[in-house]
Amino acid sequence: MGLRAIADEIYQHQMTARELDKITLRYDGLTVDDAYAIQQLTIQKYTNQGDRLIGWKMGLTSKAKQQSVGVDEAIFGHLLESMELTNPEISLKGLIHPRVEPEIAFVFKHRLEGTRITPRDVWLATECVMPAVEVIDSRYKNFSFTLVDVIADNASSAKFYVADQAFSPYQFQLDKLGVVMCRNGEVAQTGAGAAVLGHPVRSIIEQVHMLSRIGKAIEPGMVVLTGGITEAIYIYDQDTISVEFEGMGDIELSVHA
Amino acid sequence: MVDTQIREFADRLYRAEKDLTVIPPLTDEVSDMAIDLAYEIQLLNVEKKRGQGDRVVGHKIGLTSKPMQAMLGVNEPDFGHLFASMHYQSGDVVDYPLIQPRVEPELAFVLQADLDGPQIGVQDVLQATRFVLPAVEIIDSRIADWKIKLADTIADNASSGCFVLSDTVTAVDQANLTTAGAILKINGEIVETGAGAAVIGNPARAVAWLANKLSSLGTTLKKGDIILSGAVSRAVNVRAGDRVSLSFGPLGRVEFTMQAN
Repeated sequence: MGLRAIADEIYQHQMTARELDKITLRYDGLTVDDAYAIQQLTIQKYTNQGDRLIGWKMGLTSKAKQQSVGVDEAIFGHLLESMELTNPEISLKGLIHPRVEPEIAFVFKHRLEGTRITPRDVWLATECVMPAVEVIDSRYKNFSFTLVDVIADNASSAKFYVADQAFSPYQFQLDKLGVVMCRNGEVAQTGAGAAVLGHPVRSIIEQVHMLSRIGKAIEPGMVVLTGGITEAIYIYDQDTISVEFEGMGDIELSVHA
Repeated sequence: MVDTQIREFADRLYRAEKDLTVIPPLTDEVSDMAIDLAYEIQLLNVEKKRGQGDRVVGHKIGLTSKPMQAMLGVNEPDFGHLFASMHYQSGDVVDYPLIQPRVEPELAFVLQADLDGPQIGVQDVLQATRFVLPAVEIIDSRIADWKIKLADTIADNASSGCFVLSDTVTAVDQANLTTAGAILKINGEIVETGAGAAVIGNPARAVAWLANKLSSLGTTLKKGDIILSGAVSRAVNVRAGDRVSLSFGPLGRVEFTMQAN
């Protein structure tokens, strides 16, 4: 089976922001392992062009989202340097039907690898936590996909923005942390950190365990987006998206064509 | 609608509540029922329960989120009456007679002064609030399959069932009303999370709305009143025997069990 050919196709659609039919409609028998192989082949195309891997992201971290694709496990994707927004501005260029979701980002000072990670391993390896907003954008028509499709498409990663202020990982109870996301001044979504697998630290543990299956790890200096605390909302030209994280300040993003 | 029909609708809702049965939507018969008449129906049953010795201890505010308002095609909240008989405390087994219950995490306000509309704003609410506390509202509908329109739910006491209050109270100046995070679990599993701002941007704004709405109907919020300010997440179905818990971060918790069949 031509995993490389599928990776080429997905890469082309990611680069040109064109919608794609689900690969599972066109290729029989693709497994989750195949999907991660396609994801890695796609990422290699970016890194061959000079892009750089700077971290990981978790997806399908809520029960509701797992049920919507009929699985009981989270997924992960690669974060590249080119995906990070250095200013709180989202350009719709290069995006198909983008949505945003509030997340907690972990930044690491030590390597984390293995299959038996505990919360205290995570805290010992963590330098800081930071509020973040992820822009997700499936390359599939109507944002509709199966588990294999979304993994192959780098877990719908597109862009992300991390706030200026970092916090000690011990300062907040991240599961209790309330989050309010507004679009143009009106409340669109609210949630609490526990929406992410019960506690965002659980997301890091899952991330490390899944990485160990492909012989990878969280490396020092990496950032990990732990998963959406609320449902994602669509964004449109001229929108202002503001997200307040209880006690951690807020992120305001402006959207333009 | 004539008086006899209003009375008849009130009786129908009252009997359904007593017999734990459901009735078709009132709006199936009177599709354009005015909101004022729906509140009149609600008040007839409030008076009836008062006459039987129950006591009004406050109000609940409903339809406080954009999605709920959009679903019913309205752009303001509604309200119902809370009775002493509906009040449970964290740790209780809830044995209130219910038909098709759902639970919602909320912030409750307890007043230390009257709030006399119609010019009440958020600052007035904050000044008049003795404390806030986490609450789980158990909503219920006497209308079959929850097929409610605005007038149906208003006539039906804003789909009230009963409510469970936390043992922890917090002075309003110590509470993050908008960013306080809520985690709702059923039988140990997280079913919803949310934050205070889900209630029309700020739960205190909903209380201000209620004070002003009541003043237009000739009444006021009184010192000591309990106000359930509105759901901070979607409502979730509960069944007999379910364990329900709400954590509202530093504001406290609510835990209870639905009585087993």
